[in-house]
Amino acid sequence: MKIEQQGETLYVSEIPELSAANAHAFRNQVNARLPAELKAIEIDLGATHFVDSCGLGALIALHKTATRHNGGVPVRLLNPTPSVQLLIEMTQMHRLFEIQTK
Amino acid sequence: MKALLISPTNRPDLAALTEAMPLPNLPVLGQSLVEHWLEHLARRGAKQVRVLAADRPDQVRRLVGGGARWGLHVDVIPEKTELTPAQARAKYRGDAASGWLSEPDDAVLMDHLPGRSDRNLCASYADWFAGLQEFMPLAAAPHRLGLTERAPGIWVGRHTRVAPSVELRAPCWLGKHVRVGPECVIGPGAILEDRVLVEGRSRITNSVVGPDTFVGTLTALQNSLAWGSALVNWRAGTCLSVPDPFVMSSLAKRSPAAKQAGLAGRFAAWAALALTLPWGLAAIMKSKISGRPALRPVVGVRPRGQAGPRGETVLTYYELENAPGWLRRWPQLWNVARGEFTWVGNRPLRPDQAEQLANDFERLWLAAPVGLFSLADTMGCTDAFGDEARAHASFYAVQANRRLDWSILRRGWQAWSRNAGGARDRTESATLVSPSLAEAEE
Amino acid sequence: MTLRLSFACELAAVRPTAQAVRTFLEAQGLHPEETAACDLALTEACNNAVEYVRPEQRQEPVEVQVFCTGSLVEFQIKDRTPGFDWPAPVTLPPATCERGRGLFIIQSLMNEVSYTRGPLVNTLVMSKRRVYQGHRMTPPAPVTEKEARLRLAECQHTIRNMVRELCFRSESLSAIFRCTAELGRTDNLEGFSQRLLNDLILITGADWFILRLVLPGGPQLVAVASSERGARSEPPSLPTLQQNPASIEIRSAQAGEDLQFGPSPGLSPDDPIQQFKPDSAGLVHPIFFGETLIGTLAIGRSRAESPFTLEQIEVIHTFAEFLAIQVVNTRLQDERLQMRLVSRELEIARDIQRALLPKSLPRLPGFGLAAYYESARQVGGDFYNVLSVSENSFWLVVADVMGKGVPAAMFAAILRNLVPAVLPWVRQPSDLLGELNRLLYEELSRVDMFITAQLVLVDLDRRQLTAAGAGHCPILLANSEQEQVEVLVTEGMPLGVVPNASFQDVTVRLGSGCRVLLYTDGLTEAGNDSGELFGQSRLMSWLQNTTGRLATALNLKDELVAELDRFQLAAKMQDDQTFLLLAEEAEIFNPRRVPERLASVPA
Repeated sequence: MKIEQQGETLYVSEIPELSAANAHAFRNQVNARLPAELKAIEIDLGATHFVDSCGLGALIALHKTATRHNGGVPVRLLNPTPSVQLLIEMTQMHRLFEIQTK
Repeated sequence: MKALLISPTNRPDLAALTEAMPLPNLPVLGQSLVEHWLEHLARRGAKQVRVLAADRPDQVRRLVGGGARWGLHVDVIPEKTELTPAQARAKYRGDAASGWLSEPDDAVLMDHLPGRSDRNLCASYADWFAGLQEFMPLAAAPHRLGLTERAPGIWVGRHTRVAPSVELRAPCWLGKHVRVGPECVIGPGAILEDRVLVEGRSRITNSVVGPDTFVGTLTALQNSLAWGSALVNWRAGTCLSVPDPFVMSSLAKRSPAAKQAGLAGRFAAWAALALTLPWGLAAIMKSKISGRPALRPVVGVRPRGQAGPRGETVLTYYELENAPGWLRRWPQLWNVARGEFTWVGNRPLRPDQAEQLANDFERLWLAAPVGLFSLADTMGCTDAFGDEARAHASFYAVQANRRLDWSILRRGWQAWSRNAGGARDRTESATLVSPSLAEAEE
Repeated sequence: MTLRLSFACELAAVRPTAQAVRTFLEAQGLHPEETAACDLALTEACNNAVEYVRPEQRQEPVEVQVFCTGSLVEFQIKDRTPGFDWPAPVTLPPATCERGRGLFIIQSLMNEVSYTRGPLVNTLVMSKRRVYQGHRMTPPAPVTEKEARLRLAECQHTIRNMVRELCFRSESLSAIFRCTAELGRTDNLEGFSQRLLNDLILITGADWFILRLVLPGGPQLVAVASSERGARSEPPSLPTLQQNPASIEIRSAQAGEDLQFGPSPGLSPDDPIQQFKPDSAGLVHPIFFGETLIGTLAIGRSRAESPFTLEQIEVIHTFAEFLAIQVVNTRLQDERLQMRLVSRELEIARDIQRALLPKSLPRLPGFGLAAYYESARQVGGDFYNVLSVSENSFWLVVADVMGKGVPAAMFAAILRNLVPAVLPWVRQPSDLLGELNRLLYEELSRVDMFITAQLVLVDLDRRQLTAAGAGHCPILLANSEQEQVEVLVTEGMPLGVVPNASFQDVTVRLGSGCRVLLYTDGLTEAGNDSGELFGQSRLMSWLQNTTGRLATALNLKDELVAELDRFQLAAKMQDDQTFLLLAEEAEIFNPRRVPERLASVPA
């Protein structure tokens, strides 16, 4: 997993999968890297081939943290693979996150 | 040319309809709402359409696919909320002046049907109904293959069969593969979507019957939106679920309890009865000679949801009391032939046994049809009502499938024929393997 | 195929297990989309089994069993949790809730899910139907070259078949298009069906056809086109109502379903097809449009070895249906054309009839005449005329030819010309009627028609009228001297009923301020929407009210017409309506009313 700061955006990428086994780790790592000056969080799911409900839980937790951070920071999910996009839409998570596909 | 379609989200006034699927997927005269719109946009010259869906976009995408059917390129894009056409334009069109359809077709909120912007479908059930009624002549466009207007205001789709004694009153719409039984009155104001089955002597007026719905004999539908077992009175705005599958039910799903002995099975039972007659009679004669009663009547509980013709919840069957092993059940072939038993199912329970079923799991025993052979038999359970037998019965009720049925039948028949032939030297349990393992070996 | 796995009860072991199952499913040829769904559902199920396990049983492994057939994937997961009741329906938690989506995901991805609770071990059984059946075409096992060749040949064969079917369909489609284009240029239905069906026998590999149509106006199947162009008349017409017919075409038309024939079952020797093309095999398809029988199409092969394939039969049906639509369209078009011609001719007839009515009525000293004529159809059988004899005497003629439309109008025209021709030879109305009856009797009785007529000779010098009638409505007379309207009934048979009918004259004095009304029964039988008739009494009371006041005949006519219109409103006119009104216009008041009138005038 790679976490980098691009200007005022936190950019998380190269997550091979997001499941019960590593959801906690993901959450902690991202939380640890949240800078004070933050405008947006972008999570690139282009390389993610598997997400389960715990993974979704981690994303939602991140979303909650972000809404409290600096009076509300948007979380964007980038380039979800078809199977991950299906999961996101099935569980109505698209109502929470902004989803961008390039 | 590009265009945007916005899916209406969260319309509590149509809650009963949108429970199972998002609003764009709802059937409107043989096609879903979104299909009507894509067709409309394709006619207007659109090439690329984005469907902005906040409500269950996965289901919308599954329905429209890539849009190749209409010669379009369709993307279903998940949105956080329902956008207004103006917001959608701002987000996706920006300042682009050309390359888009002219307003208002460039961004359409699908709360009405093409060409009927004056009728908001989503305001109430009554509006939904009225909108469909008004759309009938528009939907009957010449490109709808096989759709014919039999008389003014009476449209009938392909492969639809209507009994000659049916009275069709304009306006009414019968979709594809619809069957209407004799002496029904359909219309005025009736819409039967595709694959609806209406049994004889029913009346349907001012109602919409959704796809794959069965309407039982002598049913009268009025001012209703009926779909599967759900029934909405559009005039009163009330919803209810019809519990009786003989009045109304969905044809798309079949519950395991509805499984009954097929005609072939019944004929096979007749044949088996005839073939095994010598052994059966021999057993009866034997007990008669020794002065004991041959046939013992037993009362068994009928499975759930399969009451008898006069509403009985029990049935009577017979056992050959003094016959060896499987031959005891020989008279029950008669019940199979009559269609009360199936070849494979759960063994019948006496009413007092049925009382003893402790929890929902065990009560599954009664969810499966009564059978001549059961899974517990083939598994070699010694106690026909023991814990193990209850588990097998519940498993069968949940897991019944053709493969399992065949394997139970094969083993049951083998054991029986061995018994009937007098060879009782081998114990049954030695030959039994769990069915799933057996399949794995194959 | 069954796969059994068990893994240690910890979250880290879930994904490797799911990966192993995934590999197994991929090896079974599961579609990637379905593999992903199974992977996710299994992971969710295993997560639950691990997370909620009873603490004391954490050492026990979790067992997973996967059962995969060509049409189904089934999972059994045994967990040692306290268990729960599977909710129905499974709903999503609120969007911001972090947990509790697992069951929803499983339910959404799988076709069937069941959860059974046991004392120690609970079992989750979930199954997914395999929709994508690609694996059946591409077996994963390695193949030898020979097998590969065989398979290739098989595939090529399949593709060839598909290509053939595609060609077949595009061929029939283009034939239909071609013929439609032709039909636009010609309106010859026979030629059109001949060409269309010639195409059909090419496409279906048939040798011959016979198309029979039910022509309008006869329950007969008439051969319209057949593959033997010159021998068109050879297949005879067939009556459709025959009992137990020998002809398979009639049987098919009566049964409303396709009938096949061939070497076995053969056709009866009397069957026209047997005579037309002996020992061939084929199919008779009845052509229906809605419920009405349009005709039958018999199509067959002389070499009887192979029957039509299902595709070919489908194409035959398509062609037949298309033909039925064309036949019906063409007939409708013809009918419409006919109707337009007829209505044009009727318009001309109407103009002529109008021209035959008198253009102006004679002026009379102190009296006025007015006439009204309205026909229920474009042409009618009513007729009136006024013929002057001298300055103060004239004939009034009103006649009604029984029947409507063109035949009635023709007799009205004859009568119109006959009356002036006979007039110089007669002196009394009865003589005139007798003469007319004699002249018209033959023609009228031949077509079973008759005419009622009322003839009145008015002599203003003597202030009297002489009337004779032939079965016509009575004359109504009113004057200011008497209260009641006088009904002058003239007895006599209508013209054209008996050859030597005699008629009687009735002579009446004309009172002061008199009104004389001659009319046809269309007037009294005018109906309104509620089925009520205008009736003679209404007419009489109207006439009574007109006496004693000053009005010209034209005014009175307008009044009566207005009265009629008020009564009929929107009701459709049933019969022609005609009346002729003679009114004294000289200033004569009812003497009893004079004082009132004078009194009302200021001194």
